[in-house]
Amino acid sequence: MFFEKKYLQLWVVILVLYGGMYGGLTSCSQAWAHEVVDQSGTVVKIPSPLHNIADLWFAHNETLLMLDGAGRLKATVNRPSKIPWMFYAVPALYEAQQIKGGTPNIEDFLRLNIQLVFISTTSKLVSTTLRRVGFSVIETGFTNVEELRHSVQLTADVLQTPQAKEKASLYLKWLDEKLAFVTSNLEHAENFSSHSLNPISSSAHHFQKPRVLHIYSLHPLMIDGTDSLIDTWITLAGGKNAAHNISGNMKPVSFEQIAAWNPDIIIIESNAGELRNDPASPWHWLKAVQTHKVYTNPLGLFQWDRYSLEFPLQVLWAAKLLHPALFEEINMSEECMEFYTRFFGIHFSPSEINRILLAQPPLHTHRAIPQ
Amino acid sequence: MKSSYIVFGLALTGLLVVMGCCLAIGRYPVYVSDMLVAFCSTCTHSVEPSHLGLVRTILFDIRLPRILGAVLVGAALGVSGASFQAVFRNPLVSPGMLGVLSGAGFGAALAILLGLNPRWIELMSFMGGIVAVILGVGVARLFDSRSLMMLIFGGLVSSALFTALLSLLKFAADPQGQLPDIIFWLLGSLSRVGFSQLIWVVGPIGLGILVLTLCGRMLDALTMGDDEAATLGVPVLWVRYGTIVLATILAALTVSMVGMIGWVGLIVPHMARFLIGPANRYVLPLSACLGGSFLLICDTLARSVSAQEIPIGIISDVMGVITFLIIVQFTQRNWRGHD
Repeated sequence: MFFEKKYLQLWVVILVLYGGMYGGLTSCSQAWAHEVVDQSGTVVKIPSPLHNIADLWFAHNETLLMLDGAGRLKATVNRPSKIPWMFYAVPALYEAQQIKGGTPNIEDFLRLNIQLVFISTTSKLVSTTLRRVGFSVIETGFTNVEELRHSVQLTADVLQTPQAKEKASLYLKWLDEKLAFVTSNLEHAENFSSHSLNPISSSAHHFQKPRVLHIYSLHPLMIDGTDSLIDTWITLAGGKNAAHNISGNMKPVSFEQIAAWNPDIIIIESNAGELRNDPASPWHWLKAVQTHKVYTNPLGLFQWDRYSLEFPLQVLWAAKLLHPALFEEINMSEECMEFYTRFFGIHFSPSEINRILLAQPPLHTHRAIPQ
Repeated sequence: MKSSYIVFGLALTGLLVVMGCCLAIGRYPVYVSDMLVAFCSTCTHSVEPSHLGLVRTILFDIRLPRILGAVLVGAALGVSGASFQAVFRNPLVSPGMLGVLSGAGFGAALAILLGLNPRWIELMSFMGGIVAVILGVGVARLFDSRSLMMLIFGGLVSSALFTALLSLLKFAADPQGQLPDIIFWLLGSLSRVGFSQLIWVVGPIGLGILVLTLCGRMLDALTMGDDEAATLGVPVLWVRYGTIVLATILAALTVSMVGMIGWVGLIVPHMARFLIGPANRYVLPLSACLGGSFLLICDTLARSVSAQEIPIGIISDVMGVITFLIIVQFTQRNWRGHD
């Protein structure tokens, strides 16, 4: 009965409405500039012109900011309380809508006219939902240097501006230079050490890789194991991950297990809490604590030790920490200053750089931008 | 009765043996000789070299509080579960029946979300558990204060409400820091137990276990039915609600200390009944001994099986399921034997 002639007008209205809604969501009268293949291997059409971007991967915001995408960032999952330096350095971030809980409200995205979403390669559920609705979704992420390179290059390809491409190319060149510098120095020292292994001189030039433990959190006690970016920079900086028998990031362990590893050096994440080293504390008995080799990781625009563009700085910092004699000439303040000026156009003062190296937050919420 | 005392004595001895063995087991290799020297140096307060100092720290500051905490929490959950089962005359009831676990979980999650320190997390978790049970009992009293069915109904309502609120907090939590903290807390761990915490809870938990154990005879009378218990001079409502209050406080204290631990309150009273019979005056103290041993073994596995510490909630669930199946198997065999 619903297919009778008298219902024809009703069917036409329903079809037109449905078509309008579907078209509105999927195309929004969108023009497509080009296609890219993201890090999950999906071919993604990039809208043109690209004005409104949502970034749902915490670590990727920094890449977008470096490649002059700050003005286009309309929604972010980052918060000033977690990464104060990023919001301090780029106050435009305060203008972006902060998405709580990591899961976006699709209607909110439509209201903000979001055209493209960056998301972590591990967030399959959200990326599938967003694609189904019609958003261009770029999956990106990295746990090693090669993937970091890919992520930066991919972002430049998405943005398609000459500045972004040039900045990405400069950054990747700088990344290679810094890593090559550390690697070659370590190789040289290792070769020199193995060649001088004779009964007389072995003790003088013996090269040893210290066992490093990276603590993510003290309460509850969580550390970072192998198959992680943390393990990558520890290895690149000439150390060995003390947590060699645990795989992955942020794994809970007992103090006993840490005592069994008894690392030479302990590096604590910037917001992990305070490690008590008084004689009443169990930590007091560990080798790293007794030799005063417990360090807090610097905190820059993003956490240096996690998925940040400061990864080469992290390798330099760790290399100097692990092999002070070998990397005596590295001046971390100068390296930091150069990095933030060159890639972000930010001129931090020496005291601000010092605070970054000491993992302290900025003194103010907004940076005074020179006119 | 004599055999009951023998079983109870054996369980107590077993608990002490398990405690001794667990003190020697862990990820850090501690040899018997080191243990002896550590014990002696504790007695003489001598200044120890580095290795011995570390051994002493591991034995007395890391393992011992965990062992005592596991025994205390296991005993509390065992007695709490046995009491709930006696009050509700239902062997499938556990301490979470009236919503105490979801309420305590909600309280802890709220404290984590507000960025409060660990002491406040414990306090709010305890308060959450109590509030959830008050709500459950309040809902029951709205309809019929004497009906056990209404109490179960009230517990279901309270549990569902606080589970939903907990989900809401998880949804609102920062996925980078707060959400993993909430999830990790809910999975349970004895790693946060220290002497400073034990001093606060040992009194209330010990007193709660003692009072409930002394109420065993009245709970036995209650299992015959309200009218029969009343004719024997048992103040039914007072005993019922008094037991619920004490058992709830015990359960809420355990959750506030170590997070959510399932199965112990359900399985341990069954083990006790299997060994000693249905009389609550024996089941309750035996549940305390067996609960302590059960959770202690679970915690030792959690901290020793792999380099990564496994949340105790996972281990206790797996062990609980296995033990439950074994008990059902034995019980069925006995039933067949009686047929």
